[in-house]
Amino acid sequence: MKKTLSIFLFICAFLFLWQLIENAVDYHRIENDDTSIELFIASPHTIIKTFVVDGGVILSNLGYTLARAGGGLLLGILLAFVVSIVFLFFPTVRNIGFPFSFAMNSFPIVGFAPLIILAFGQGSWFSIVFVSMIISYFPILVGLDSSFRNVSKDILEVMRVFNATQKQMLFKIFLPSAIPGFLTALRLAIPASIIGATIGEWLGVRTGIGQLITVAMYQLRPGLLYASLISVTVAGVICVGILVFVEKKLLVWKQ
Amino acid sequence: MSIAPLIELKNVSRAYKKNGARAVGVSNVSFSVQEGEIIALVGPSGCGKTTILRMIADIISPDTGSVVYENRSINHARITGLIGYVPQSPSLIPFRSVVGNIRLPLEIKGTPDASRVEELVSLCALEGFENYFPSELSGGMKQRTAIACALACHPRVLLMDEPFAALDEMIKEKLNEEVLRIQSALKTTIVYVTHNIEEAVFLANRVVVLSPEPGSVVGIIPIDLPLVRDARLRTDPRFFQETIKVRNMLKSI
Repeated sequence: MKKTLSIFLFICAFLFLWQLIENAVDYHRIENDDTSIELFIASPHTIIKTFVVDGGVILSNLGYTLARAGGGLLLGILLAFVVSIVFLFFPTVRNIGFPFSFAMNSFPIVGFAPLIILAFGQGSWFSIVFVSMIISYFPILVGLDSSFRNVSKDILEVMRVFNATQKQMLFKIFLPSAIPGFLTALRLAIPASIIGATIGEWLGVRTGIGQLITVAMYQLRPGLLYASLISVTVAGVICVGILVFVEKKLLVWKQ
Repeated sequence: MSIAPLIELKNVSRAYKKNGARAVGVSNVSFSVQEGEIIALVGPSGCGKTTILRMIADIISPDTGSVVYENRSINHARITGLIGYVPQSPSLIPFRSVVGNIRLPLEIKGTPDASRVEELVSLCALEGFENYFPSELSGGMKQRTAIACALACHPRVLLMDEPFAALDEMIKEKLNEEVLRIQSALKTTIVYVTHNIEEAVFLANRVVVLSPEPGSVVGIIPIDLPLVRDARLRTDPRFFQETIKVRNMLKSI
């Protein structure tokens, strides 16, 4: 509780100082017949005002972004599960496939997104979901793959003596063993999926936070820009927070 | 002995890779295990004790020679659930409780029977720990659970690979007595790997002494001690005599 309070106080102090400096700088600039700095850097006061005035617009666009990110994340999870299970049972496929996945992850997503948007068509929902999937898939694949490989050799040998089938190994040993690794990977993949959706929207559609950011930039509305960014960040933090809560409930055996 | 052996190792050899080169781990090992006996494999580290046990468990196959169970391949014995295996480090599933771990082999076999789980809990003296997770158990309790798991499907042979090597002396002695108690209750045949001479003599009816690199049988010593044994045996002069026999043979390597 003390920790939460100190973080809260720190943020308040930071915002207050920010507002103070901006007020002082602006006063100075307007005195000298210069443009207000508010046109380029929003003050906390403007951001709060934007939330009050344009809150509905931001929220509805945030809804689009989160829906696309959620879709991308789900597809990414699905793909990662399928691929990691194939890697688990077919080591040769893994030897060939894993470097490809690494390469895919090293590819700059900002450069990759236009390719996908071009392929699926501008304005297509699926292209955004696809960009989000590509970016969230990799951490989950790595999480699952390393969890599978970390299952103790002794356990596997005992399972062999018990004459367990591959299906039993998968459902009774490998998949449950991978839950902690999967949840850790999700902590990375959730923000990644939101980044993917935002980048996709930036380039490809007329809705969503990514698009709102572009509009705000061109219209010189830093208040809207900041408010959009803050809203998407808060949404990501809340999602990860829920995940951490679920993790605690689920992993009682890990102490 | 005129009775046909339960398990027979016939000229078993197995190589392994050491720094990329082929090294012979176990060479030309032959011995047999009679039904209902406890046989201990003793030898210095690197003599292939574990390799031999893993071959009897059908986890690995011999390069040459064969492991036979009642005139059939050992593979058949494993598939039909006649073998239980307790590895060196406790091989418990971390996300399953004690009861969950004991139930796992039954689930695999398709007979998750709650009364059998209860039986095993009381046989291995795990009462009160049923819902503990492995991370909450002491080393001794973990190995008791591992033994319960291995015994779950009524195996006729229990293979134990230095199961108590990591435990302190007092607990090890207690668990050795437990193994004898369980064995006399179930009449399970036990092949027990250890590098501890006292442990081998205390448990076994016969001790197979192995030499290192490549592992081969130096001799088989029948232990001339009463079949029913308890803690008092450890201070019996006959017990010392038997350990001396094993020790001398190990020294002669």
